[in-house]
Amino acid sequence: MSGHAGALEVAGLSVTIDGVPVVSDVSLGVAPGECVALVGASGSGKSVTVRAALGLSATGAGVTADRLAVADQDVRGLSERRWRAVRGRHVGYVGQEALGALDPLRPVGREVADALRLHTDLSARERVEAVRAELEAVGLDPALATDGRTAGTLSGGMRQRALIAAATIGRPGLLVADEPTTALDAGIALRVMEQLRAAQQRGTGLLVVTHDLGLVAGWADRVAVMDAGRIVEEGPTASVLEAPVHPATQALVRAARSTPAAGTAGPAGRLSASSADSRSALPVLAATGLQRSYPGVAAVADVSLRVAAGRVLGVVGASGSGKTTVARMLLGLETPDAGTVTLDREAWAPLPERERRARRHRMAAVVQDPGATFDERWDVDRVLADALSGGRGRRATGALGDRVDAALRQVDLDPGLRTRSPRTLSGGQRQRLAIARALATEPEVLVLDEPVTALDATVQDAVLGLLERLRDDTGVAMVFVSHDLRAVRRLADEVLVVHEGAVVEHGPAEAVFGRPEHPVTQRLVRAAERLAAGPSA
Amino acid sequence: MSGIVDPGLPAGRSSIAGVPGSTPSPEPGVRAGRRSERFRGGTLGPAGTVAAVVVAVAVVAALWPALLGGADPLAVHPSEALLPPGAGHLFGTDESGRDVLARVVAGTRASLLVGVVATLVGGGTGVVLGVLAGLGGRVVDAVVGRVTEVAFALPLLLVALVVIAVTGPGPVPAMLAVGFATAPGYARIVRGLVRTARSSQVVETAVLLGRSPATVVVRHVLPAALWPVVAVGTLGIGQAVVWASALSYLGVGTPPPAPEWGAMLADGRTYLATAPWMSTFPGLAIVVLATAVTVLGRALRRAGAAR
Repeated sequence: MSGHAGALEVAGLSVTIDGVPVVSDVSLGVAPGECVALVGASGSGKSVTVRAALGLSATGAGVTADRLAVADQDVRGLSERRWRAVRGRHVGYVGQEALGALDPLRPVGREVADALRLHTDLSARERVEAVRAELEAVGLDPALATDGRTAGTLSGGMRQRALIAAATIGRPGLLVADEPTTALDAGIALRVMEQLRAAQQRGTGLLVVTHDLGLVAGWADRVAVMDAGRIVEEGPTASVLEAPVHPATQALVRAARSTPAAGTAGPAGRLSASSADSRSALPVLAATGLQRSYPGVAAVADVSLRVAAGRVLGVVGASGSGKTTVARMLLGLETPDAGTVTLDREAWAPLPERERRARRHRMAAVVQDPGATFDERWDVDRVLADALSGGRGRRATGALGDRVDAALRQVDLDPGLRTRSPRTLSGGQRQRLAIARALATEPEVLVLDEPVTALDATVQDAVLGLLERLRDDTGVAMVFVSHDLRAVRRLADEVLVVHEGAVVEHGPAEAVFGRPEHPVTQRLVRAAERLAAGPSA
Repeated sequence: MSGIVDPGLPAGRSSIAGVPGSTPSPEPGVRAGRRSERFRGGTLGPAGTVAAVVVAVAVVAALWPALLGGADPLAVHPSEALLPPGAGHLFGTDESGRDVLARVVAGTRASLLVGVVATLVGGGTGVVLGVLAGLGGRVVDAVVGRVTEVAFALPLLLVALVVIAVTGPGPVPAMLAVGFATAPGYARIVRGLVRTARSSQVVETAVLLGRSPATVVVRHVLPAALWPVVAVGTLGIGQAVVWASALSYLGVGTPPPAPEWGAMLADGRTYLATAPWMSTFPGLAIVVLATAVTVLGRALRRAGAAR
């Protein structure tokens, strides 16, 4: 990559944090109009690399490099003041958390205009015109430029697009996108990638940081794979994907393949064989006519579902379709305005919590971000001892200790982790711990709300495998709520497609994904396919 | 923990306090583990160490005044009245010939005691009010909220004087007065923490596991609310020392002739031009002790947070 002028040139970059080497000897180049993907599991150092290249290293970080140039300008040792002149004009940055990156109190139009106001001499009038054009280019209402709407009034996908508009409006030579689609459903993710692609075609160098090699496949020209702070493999996307050399790359490729994109055969064999009895089997959990509205919004208009023991019901839909509200009503955390939930033919919701408490152990939940569900004062030991003993055990000794070990081993965790705080575990370990806790009461129903969305592709693969095994071993019924069609397709026997709070399609998984009938389902499936395949041009 | 303001003073009056430093959270993954190891047994830092030494000396003075003060703080020697600081009397003598050093040392006990007890009273009352408001229904929350807001709007000293007006002057009423006057600050912090903890996913998870409301409150809500209050309370002690001295200065705290810094300041007022040492040394003592306790509290909190 060295040789000619690039949007970004990095050579021999090393970063230490508090004296500990985190990134060693990384070299990376992005040419104008090129899309390079920096791929690796979390903790591999990819975010640290990118932040160092943007001058955003945390205090305590030591950055050294043989060459570090943005748009041919040496940025080593630049003062914060000089950096500000580089960012926005020469580099645009799109972070993962669009929710947090936009000021909730400032009009979005002003946020987008910032780069122009700071780095150009355009008049206010010209700026408004430029903002309108940019908003239109990313598929947002141009009126946002002036109507004073704030980020709080926009959906997650709209915010992500506004952020892209803000990053690209200054026509930077380099655009860095850190996990730009991870939190988005396939439809919005596709649009986001198309917008990044559009910027690339205007000559911007694009650096996409992600853990999802599947996403990279169709979009990136070149891939650099990071592992343990080093670049272990680099090359044209196609050749890296076809013949991965390094074990870390092989693991990522495997993960991307084993959750097949829509269109290839799903793991339907086992399921179709048993799908006949599922219709006769009595549902352990059933909901009829669920409705729930918040002031001004009908979150759930009409959802009915049933799931039998040992079966997995997938609930899919775009962000904001009401999936999570359905899950919360099933769990009794949210009271339905109308409709009922029954657990094993007994009333479950709506009921006062008091009347559910004795049966709480029969239903359990796993959520997207398990980190927040652990009391920070409790170690792993106490979390499981508490769950296994019905709240009576604090310390796991004797028989309870053996059960804690068994619970950890059941989810492939090392019993040696017992003394650790959940905060110090990796994302995958935390989610396994959350699953172990959920299964501790031997529930009949497990409600999983986006259980793998926040995890690395390789870890997703392992956790989905774990859930499959647990379903077969324990016969627990699962309600699997997700916008990630790949994950749902792998696990679900039956699928419910939710759109604007109502069920629009319902049937066996292979039928719904193979021959989607409702336009919403078709759109979701097509978006997932196109996201995996890359730009249509 | 960042963003908590010292409760000892109404907003905008905080003299020693800034906003507690919010350290940037470490990058996930790689850094977290190593970081916690590095900071295990975190130190107090230079300022914290000096403050710890000062507080230790004060504690010794409170427990065993004779060790530092030597002379009898109450012994009157009219012939030696108003002697400037010198060999015989390091801090000089007052209008009755009493040794100022001995009186400053002897006054430490009263000041420390009133600081600690008043903070306990204030923190305790605040926790009760805050938990009530945080856990109670809308009506309880509104009533407690309005009462604390009204108390907040009044200057702290005024609230303390109102309490004294009811109880009458004396050292114990001074403790209660300062305690009750600082309570609204703690109440507000506790209410916020309880509310946050109550709607947290930790509590939701406990509900999903079938825990009763009482169990959830005892295991998850109260611990989450109490530890930050203890941390803030250590900062509050320094402020309470200052306020208790202020009450004594006004003559409604510890009565004469018992040695008390605020009362000594008041006594020296008349002789400020001729015998400034009478007021200077107790004044310095107040400033040094209050500062040391506050700096130490902050350092302890940082060391605890790093762990």
